[in-house]
Amino acid sequence: MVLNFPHDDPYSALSAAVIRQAAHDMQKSIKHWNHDDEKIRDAARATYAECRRFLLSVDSPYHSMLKLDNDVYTRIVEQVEHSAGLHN
Amino acid sequence: MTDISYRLTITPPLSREEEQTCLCRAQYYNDENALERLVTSNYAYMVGRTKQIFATSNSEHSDALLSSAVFGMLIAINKFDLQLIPDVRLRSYATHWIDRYIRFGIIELTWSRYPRLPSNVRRLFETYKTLRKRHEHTTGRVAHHREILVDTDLQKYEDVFHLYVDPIALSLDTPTAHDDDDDGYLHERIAGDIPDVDGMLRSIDSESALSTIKQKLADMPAQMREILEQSYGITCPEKTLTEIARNNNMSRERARQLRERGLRSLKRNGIELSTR
Repeated sequence: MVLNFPHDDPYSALSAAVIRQAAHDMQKSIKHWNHDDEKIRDAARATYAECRRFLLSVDSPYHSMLKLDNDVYTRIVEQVEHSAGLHN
Repeated sequence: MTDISYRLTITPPLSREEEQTCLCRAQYYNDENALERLVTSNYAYMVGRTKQIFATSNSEHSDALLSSAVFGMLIAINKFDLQLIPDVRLRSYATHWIDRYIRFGIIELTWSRYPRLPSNVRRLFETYKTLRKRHEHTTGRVAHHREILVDTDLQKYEDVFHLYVDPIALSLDTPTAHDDDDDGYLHERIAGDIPDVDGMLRSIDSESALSTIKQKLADMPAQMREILEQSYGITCPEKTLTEIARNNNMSRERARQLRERGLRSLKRNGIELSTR
């Protein structure tokens, strides 16, 4: 998933990278959602929950730096979950 | 719960502590005043979501969709588990529910396939749509969904339809004022100037956000901080991973790993910060 956020200063670029990393980690964690190894499965689900919580926590400093609409983050989460078939 | 709909008015956003107190009172003590505060403080946001998802000048639709949004917010307040997700604000959590109910409202109003819905729910609505048309053709009138569903395979989903197809009605003539002197109505609130509460919050946040990020960077291990600063050009011109690796006497892959670890570390700090 390609996520391009507009940024005009280094700190916004860093914030965009933190958000992108969270979305990337969330996408990766879904792949191990039903892993045979319980430890890997639990770790993946914990990562998923953490990343999702972070992406939707609109009052984090990184979200504030990017000054984007909350809807953007909701769509990212939806897109990741839909592409992984979590909603089916 | 629905009793509060007749006296909706806009109030300033609640602080995190106020919001949590109101949530506790609404969920555990059924405090209607707390519930009203939670809904009204997010009212401008719900109007914004309604306009964003279904941009139309048709006031009839705006009225019905706004009532769907309020219903979504009420569901979110009921479902929001403070102990499970203490660091998420109600508005973040409720966005999903508000959007969901607005989309169901759109389906009910326009029978459009425009909103994105899970395939199983969409199939349910498609079947319901066919049944409804058949019923209208037979009886020549619009019927309540319970009447349509009776003796059909969909009857077991009646609760779903009760929630999604019949949102609470909120007329444009709904009075929105508490005082008798002020005779305000919902349509005036929708048409009038709504304060940009989101914008105000964002501008306040962005001022402190920069200093918070700087502080978090300063607290990181030196090597990780330097790699992040060089990658995004914070204290020096932006560098590529290969350049960073060469400067720090490490492989490019190691530099990439440290950068990823640094970003994850910042993310975790972000979650901690948002609980304050």
